[in-house]
Amino acid sequence: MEYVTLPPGVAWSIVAIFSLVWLGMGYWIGRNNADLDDYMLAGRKVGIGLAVATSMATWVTSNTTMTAPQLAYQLGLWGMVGYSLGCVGLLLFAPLARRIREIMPQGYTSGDFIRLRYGKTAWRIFLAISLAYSVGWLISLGMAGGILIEALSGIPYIYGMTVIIAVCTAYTLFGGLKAVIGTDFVQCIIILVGVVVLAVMVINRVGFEDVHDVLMRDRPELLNMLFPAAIMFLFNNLFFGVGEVFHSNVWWSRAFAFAPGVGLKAYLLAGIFWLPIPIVAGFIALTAPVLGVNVPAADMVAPLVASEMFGTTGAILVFVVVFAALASSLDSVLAATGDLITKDIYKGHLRPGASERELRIAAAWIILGISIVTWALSVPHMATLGSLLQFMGAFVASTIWPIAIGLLYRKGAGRHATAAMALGTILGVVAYFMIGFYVAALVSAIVSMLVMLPTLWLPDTFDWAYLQENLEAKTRRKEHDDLGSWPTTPRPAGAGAGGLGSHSASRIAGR
Amino acid sequence: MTRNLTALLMLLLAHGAEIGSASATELLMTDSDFGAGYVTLAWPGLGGESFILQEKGGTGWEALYKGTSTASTLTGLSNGDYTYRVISDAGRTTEPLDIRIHHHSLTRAFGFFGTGAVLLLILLAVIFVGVRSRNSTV
Repeated sequence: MEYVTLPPGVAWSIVAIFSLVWLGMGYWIGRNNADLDDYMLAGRKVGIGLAVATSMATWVTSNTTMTAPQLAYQLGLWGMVGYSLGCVGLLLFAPLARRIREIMPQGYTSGDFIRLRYGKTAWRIFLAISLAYSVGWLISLGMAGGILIEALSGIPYIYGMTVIIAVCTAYTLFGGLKAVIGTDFVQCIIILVGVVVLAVMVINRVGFEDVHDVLMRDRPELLNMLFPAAIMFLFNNLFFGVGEVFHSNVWWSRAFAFAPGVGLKAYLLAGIFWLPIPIVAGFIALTAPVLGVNVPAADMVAPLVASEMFGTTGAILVFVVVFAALASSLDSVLAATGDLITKDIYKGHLRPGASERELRIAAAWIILGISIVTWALSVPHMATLGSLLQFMGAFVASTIWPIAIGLLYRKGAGRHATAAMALGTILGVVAYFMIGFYVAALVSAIVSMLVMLPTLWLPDTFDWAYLQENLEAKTRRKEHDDLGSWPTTPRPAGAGAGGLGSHSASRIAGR
Repeated sequence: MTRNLTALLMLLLAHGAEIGSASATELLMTDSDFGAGYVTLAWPGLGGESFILQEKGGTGWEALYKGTSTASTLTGLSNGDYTYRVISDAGRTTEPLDIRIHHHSLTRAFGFFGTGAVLLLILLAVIFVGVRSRNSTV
């Protein structure tokens, strides 16, 4: 490695110090987890401050700090701007988060909603998409950890990657979603402060004029406002982000975990605060040609430029910021994917009669299993971060319309959602290979829309009360587990943990 | 299509194994998209301590990079034909590698852009109307 700036001892010390901090926080925060709601959903009462912090920190992933620079390095200014359009996913999810809390106050996962709203076939396709995405995201996070540590300190990729995955798994196991959200708050502060300091250092060291002159001479397309691939990338990345947020249990679990009335404000503020971060990260990458930094792989551009530009102090700052971003996302995806597998596969398919205690034990083993699989798939370093991430776009963007229409309208049946997700994914993957990574999500979203949108002209068929009926049964099951016997007091008809309003009941068709 | 199938291969196979099987004097493309103007060149088996990556220009070979890395990513390339080679301090030289950058057409680009813009407007309308409808019945 040419740009080793951090002595390995310093790098390991930073990893050790922050690992101890996250592990300590995870253990201390999670020590009072009393039941499954505490472990999986932080007791369903997270306030606005923590809600904004966890949403923003989770969305600032290693991809934000390393793939955004990669895309700026490959696609220029529009690549940078296009990546920042990922904030639209958080902004558009804000009203949906409120809606989710209203109609499923005792829900656990996004899979719960799809199963109840659209039936089992659509549910299984949705699970396949969601799990494929989650695994892809986890691998990208694992890889980013290894790449970061190797680029800045020369420590072999596999060692850094292993340690980061192990630490994040440990504190997620200890504390569940409470620990995840608590550590996210601290990590959010580190990220915001670090990015501001880095931005000031970059502008002081390399002026805008130098960047412009060198790029115009050596890499003219990076400044070209009519760069075709970059133009195609803009809305592709927007819909990729929307698909990620709309479908992923990472965001649904937070919608369930936030206190009533918090979700809308939290997601709006998180989207706004997140927007400038990929712009700053992307600008760092555009200074690489000015500094004469050689980039062996595009996803290494950010740490290489930082170590060249800032020396040891700056390298430490970048290391801390990216480690915080990594940890804040890796723990969230581990926890949310663990929830999804526990509730929708373990309980939904294998052990429908599992008690809450059994589910809590299963959740821990499942999180451990996911981290091992992630480690194993991260070892070969198969692709760049950007190409791996964008491949997932073909999958997740197909879920946008089934989710949006399913939450807000009583129209559209399971067969429509199934077709939308299946066809969108298939044609999105075809577009990925036939044209390029910068159109896969957009094609997937277009196909999904063409299937789902016409359902808005069909009669209302779904009864919102169906969501409560099934959750009512779950609540009575929970009481049985807690008491050791079935509750004898009958519940009033239509009672649940939250109001639905005065929707008139109608026959449920097509289920 | 061939480029993108190669990308699929990369997703499925170990990166190191692919490079290890190549000839020592071969200049490899380990990541590329000619429609987006970028390519990553690698020379893992050339031998030597330092290397010079050169591009063939109007006046002969011009150095793009000098150092100890065995790979380099070139981005922001305009349409045209490019030829590259690498020389090591051990006196070895790779075979010249020719590539052709041909960006996607602006018609295609704006077609996708326009479609994306319309899609976003429709999504905003669906969410806005749906939220208002739900609020009015609660």
